[in-house]
Amino acid sequence: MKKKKRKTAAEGYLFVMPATLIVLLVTVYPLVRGILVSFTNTNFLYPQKAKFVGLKNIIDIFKDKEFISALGFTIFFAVSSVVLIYLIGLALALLLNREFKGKGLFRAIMLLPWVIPNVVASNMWLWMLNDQTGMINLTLLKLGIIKEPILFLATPFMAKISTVIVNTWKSFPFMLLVLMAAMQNIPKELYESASMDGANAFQRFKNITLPMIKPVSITSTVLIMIWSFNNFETVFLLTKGGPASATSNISIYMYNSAFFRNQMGYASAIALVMLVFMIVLSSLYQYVLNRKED
Amino acid sequence: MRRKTVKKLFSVLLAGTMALSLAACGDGSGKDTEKAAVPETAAKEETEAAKTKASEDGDVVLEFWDMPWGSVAYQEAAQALVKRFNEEHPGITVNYTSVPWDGDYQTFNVAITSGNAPDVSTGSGYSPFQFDAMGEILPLDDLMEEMKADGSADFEETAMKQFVQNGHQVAMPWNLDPKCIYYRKDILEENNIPVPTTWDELLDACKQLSNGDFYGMAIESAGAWPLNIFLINNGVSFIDENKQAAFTSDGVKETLEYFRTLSEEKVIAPGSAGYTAAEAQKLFLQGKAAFIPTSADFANSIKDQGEEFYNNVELLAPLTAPSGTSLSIMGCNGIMAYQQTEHPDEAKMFIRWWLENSDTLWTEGGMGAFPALRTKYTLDVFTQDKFKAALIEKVLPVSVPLNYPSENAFPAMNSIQGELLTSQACSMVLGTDKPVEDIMNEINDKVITILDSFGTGEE
Amino acid sequence: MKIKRIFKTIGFYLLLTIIVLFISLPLINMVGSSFKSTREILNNNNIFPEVFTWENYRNVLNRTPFLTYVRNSVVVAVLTAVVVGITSCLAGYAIARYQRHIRAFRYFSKLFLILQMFPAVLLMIPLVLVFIKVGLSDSLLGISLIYIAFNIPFCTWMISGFFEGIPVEMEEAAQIDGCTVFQSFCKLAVPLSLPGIASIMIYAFIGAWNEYMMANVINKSAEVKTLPVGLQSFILQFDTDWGSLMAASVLAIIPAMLFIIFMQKYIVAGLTAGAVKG
Repeated sequence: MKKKKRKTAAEGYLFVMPATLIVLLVTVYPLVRGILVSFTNTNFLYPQKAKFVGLKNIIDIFKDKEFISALGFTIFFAVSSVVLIYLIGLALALLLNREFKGKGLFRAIMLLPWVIPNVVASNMWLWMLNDQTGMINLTLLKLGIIKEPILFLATPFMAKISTVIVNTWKSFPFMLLVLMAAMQNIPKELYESASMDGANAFQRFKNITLPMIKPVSITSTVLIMIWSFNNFETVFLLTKGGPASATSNISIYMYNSAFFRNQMGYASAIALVMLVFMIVLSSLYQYVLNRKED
Repeated sequence: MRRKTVKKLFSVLLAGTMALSLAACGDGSGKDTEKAAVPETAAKEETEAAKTKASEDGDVVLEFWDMPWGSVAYQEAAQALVKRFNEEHPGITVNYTSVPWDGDYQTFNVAITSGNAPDVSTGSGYSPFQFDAMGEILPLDDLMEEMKADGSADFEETAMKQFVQNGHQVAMPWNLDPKCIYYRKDILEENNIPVPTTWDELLDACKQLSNGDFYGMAIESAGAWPLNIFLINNGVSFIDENKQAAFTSDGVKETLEYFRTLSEEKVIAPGSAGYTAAEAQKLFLQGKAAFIPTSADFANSIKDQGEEFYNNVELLAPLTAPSGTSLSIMGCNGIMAYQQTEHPDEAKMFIRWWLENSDTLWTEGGMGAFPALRTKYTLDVFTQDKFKAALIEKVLPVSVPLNYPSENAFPAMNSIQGELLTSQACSMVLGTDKPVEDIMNEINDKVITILDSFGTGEE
Repeated sequence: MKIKRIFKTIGFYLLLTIIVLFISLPLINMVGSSFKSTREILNNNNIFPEVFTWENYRNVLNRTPFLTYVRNSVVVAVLTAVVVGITSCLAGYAIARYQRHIRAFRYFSKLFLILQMFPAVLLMIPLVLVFIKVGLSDSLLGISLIYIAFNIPFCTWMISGFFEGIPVEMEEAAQIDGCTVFQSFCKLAVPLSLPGIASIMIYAFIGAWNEYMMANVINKSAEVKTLPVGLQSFILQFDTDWGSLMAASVLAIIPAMLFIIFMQKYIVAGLTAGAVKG
């Protein structure tokens, strides 16, 4: 017995080798360099004058008003996106959890938001959300549902909501597919025996479905949270960070710092802070949810 | 025993890979001097090796990075022009690359810092100043002198002065991108409204014309060129002659308050604070607005709509602003060469050739921007088009760039424009209730932050 | 009772249609616009053209290197999907199966996840530096390598979850009968996880298909440009060639959708295999 265990462990390492090698070779140097740079005051214009400044960048970050407001919006954006995406994904996965004709095609269509080039998708949404010429307002006005056009992107408040809507459009299909796959793996017998024992739909959901999709739910919501946190293109292409910097998120702020203000050191520090933030957040999240099970 | 060996092997491999990747790339100390030097020298050696090989083959190779100054037709014309240059100059081969606008600054920056800069490029207005501050621009003083000496430096005045930094010519003026206001002549005539010549007259005209479905002016806030148009018209911008932040001046206040009034009087679409240029243009082209402050090349879209529409639209002569000035704003874009080039003489020669032989870029490529070289204005493309002719006659002579009143540009302008400060100001004025004073101060603070971050590099 | 069921079915398909419509709204607009001249795109708000024209498609296909961009994107994306598929499966399997034996593997997933979190924007400069040094810039292989490295973490994480869901007993039984780990991996674990594998390959494919920033900075010459970068040639500084952009975008979606539909087959196959196991 002991001999087999040792033998299989060796294979474990071998299996992991190719993936690890590739990732390390490509990302280790930039990552380490990026982290180190965040402790310097590197400026593009004067690379020779870079010097180590320790934690100064990080302290400056938390004193920076622009950063704080960008952080605020990013958190709002990520949290609302995740909540919306999960709820919609879950509801739809439940409703669609059965075999039907064209399921494969449906799944393919669900991936459209990811396949449509970002630049065009954002422009289409921009045009659809327009108050005077946009499809959504024109239709709603025609149907008499609203009297005045909705200003989706003109006020700070609505713009924030609109970015969440577009982000949801982009990502809920992923959640839907993941949850559908997870629900598909739940053996039908469990439901049948529960029904026979007198459980109603809600109880079946709570006691069978929910626990069985829990691991997948946790991982996919963490993922969406990370993507939303790091999101650049979706928001930027829609609002460029406006109006009035209302939708300027961390990535946009970091991009500006690095490339327009040439403060590579500062920008890297921002990235580092965000990285730590997300590690802590996702660890906490997973810990809490996994503990609940016990 | 075996498990331990494999485990050891694995960790050694891991450590080895990390060490290898760190060592192979200079050092992991984070000191930029070494880092910048080692990879750059190594990369430079590689490019030098490649170029030496080319010279050995008898061929000088120039990498020319051009921006998309036009779509399909332009890119065809540009490539044909490069081909012509290559045919006329055996021994020199120019490779043409089109660099997208999106993330262009990033593209150039990364290329330059990694030792992979092109030989020649065109670029957005303020980039040469940035790169010159990094020491990466090849000064074109001698080229400019040479052209002045034989009388061929007939560049538009402002553009010529624009591209000078620390006494050096950092780029040759390439093209001009004026902004202007187009209007529906027929709508004004129908309603017996005289063509406005001042801000007040414009506001009155708009008020008369605006009702539920129709708006006096189509304004966009994403690039916020309308706001830039009015700011410059009033003789003010983000900075003063001494390149200090000046967004709190009275002129700026007047302009912002004017825009606030536009919003309050409902002469612009309520969603304007979130509009991109295309959305404002759609409004105008769909006949829902009478005036549109926009880029001059919108004329192409107007023409596209057919003869009737084309005949109904006219170019508004620059208004007289409350401060009494009647300036107009334009972007000045340059063509530049880089220090990293192995063939400075050929690069300069190519730049001159490109400037002087670029006719087809307009006649066949349909470039929207105007040539900085005035001799080109005699082309039919300009004289036969009512808008272009009017722009050359009425608008260009009073056009200045966004760094007005500073005579030349400087690196920080790249940031001021790139971070879309005008857009922030515009969307705050149109989309929020924030008092104009507060908006001015907030934006001014940002200008100060930007100017500071471009300081001497000392912390 | 029957009527109730009919209503339920109608309701179901109605819901499906609404969802599909919402998802594809931008696409519908795009397709409609691609058959309009740019003039029409700007001067009306209808979805479908008043004057149907192929002009945009002709321009894009005949006058630009569009097909080269498609070829490049396909090569890069397929290479990414395949290599990620193989390496992630191996790694994910190892993590799922050997977590108990090898302490380090428990943290592997975490590590991979963390790697995903650092924004690519800032990794760009050192990354490009290295790639230029080793001659991998301006090449399809180079950018593929980057995409592979960036996608392995997530895909490994995902697929290890799938492998965990497969009962160990089956494999142990096979191994007692003389199978090696590799054989039980290939013959048992993989077929049962086809849905998961197909999913990660789709994910890696799309990641490579739609990425702009890295591709723009690393691959500049027209022969190696990918689609997202190629599309930008229709976007000018202050104006956009809408007609061409719409047509090019519609065309850009087709290969990706084909790949996805092709992969769907394996998701179904995996489910059938699962039924057998059940």
